[in-house]
Amino acid sequence: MPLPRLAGRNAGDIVAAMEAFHSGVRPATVMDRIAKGFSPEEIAPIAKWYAAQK
Amino acid sequence: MERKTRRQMLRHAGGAIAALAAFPCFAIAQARPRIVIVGGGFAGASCARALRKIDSKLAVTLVEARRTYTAPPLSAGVFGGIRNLAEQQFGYDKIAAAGITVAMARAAAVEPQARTVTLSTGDKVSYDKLVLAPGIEMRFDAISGYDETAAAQAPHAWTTDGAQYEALHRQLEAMDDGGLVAISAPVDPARCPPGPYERASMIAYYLKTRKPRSKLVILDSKDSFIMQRLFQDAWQRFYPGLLEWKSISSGDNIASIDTAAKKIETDFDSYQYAVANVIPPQVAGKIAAAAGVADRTGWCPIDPVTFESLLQKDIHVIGDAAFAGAMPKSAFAAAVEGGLCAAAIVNILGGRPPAAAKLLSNCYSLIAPDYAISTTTVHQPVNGEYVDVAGSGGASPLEAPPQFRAQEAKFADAWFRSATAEIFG
Repeated sequence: MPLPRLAGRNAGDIVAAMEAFHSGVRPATVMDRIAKGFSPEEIAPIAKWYAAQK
Repeated sequence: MERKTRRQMLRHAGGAIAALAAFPCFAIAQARPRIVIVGGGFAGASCARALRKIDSKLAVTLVEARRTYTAPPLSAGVFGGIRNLAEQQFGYDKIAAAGITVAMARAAAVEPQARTVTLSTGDKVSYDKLVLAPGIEMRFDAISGYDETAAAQAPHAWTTDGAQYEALHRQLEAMDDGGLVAISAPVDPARCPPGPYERASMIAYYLKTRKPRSKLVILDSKDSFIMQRLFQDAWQRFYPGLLEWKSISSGDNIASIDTAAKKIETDFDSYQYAVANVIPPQVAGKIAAAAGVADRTGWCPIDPVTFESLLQKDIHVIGDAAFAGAMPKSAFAAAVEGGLCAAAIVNILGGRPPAAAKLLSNCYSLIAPDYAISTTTVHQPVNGEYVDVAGSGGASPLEAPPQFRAQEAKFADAWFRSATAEIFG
């Protein structure tokens, strides 16, 4: 089973998910550990980039 | 990715960048800048794909000696009897179809002054920028009796040479029930620090399910290892009495091997083995030393923003061969480095300052078919070195329900499929 695709997903949803991983609100296996390494200023363009992918 | 002002960049990365920024158009007379990449693994092949993706006008040549790449991540599953070696193997057809010139040859020498690479075929390839992604070279001078000939009898199966994996797999299948499998684990720095313990876990799984009277011993040249509690808790649960870890503190680091007598001597003991998997200490792949980018440690110091060698101009080093502070020697990090290096090179060639970015690594270890753990790190360049981003990363929790471990096992497989599809597909 492949990983859930981020390409083309709404940027706001990706930002919200990363914030929830960062704060621990959303349970995770590895995304909490990763999200804590990135600032909101970094997450925004990353989300935008994924949203623009097909 | 973090963008910095030009001044911050220069202050941050120091002299190497300042020198480049002072000559933004450094004499690229050709209409198409020529970039040569040596090594078609996770780092080199990622870099080649990223370069073409960012700028299809670049002339990108990938030099790789092997037609078939054997990917080390998840290869432990092959020895566990739960994956086929074919699932680890990839070719370069799709990479060539993406407009990358694939030169099937070994890079024999680099002439930094002339900016050429000499191939084993005798051909010379000119470059404006050279990227070395040579991975690792086994040190055959470190363990008495363990040279290249002995490696055929007691395989390391630690490079991208498929024959090594086949040999170890064949030996495990051929061994009688009741034998001893000995794995030697090397000192750091080495490729994939959790790898020897993941492999031990998977071989223990194979023995438990197929040859249950057999034993496995890890002879470690260290006195502790990464995710030790997580591994040892899982071993206690899955492989009690079967898998034993012995360390240098108890004098059980490998000192010599006699492959004819099938005997390993440690400082204090000796082991009669049925199968030996000797993972010796390592240095950067051979071409690194030949190109003059490896230092006394055997590894290649680089600038963490540009990946340019601190020892040779216009040669960038990525993947396991490179070091700049905390850089994990994982396939995940290598693939990320390939992309970051590609972006830096395109910026430099275009006369723009390269932007500092974060380096992410997420490395899974399979302990049983539905049970994996992982270690995650996020790094950023500070004063010429990668350092951990405070509060980020870490290993899987010590206490977790079975579904959590099973989920990580699924993620390991999914990461491997996604990463290899992106690079080789």
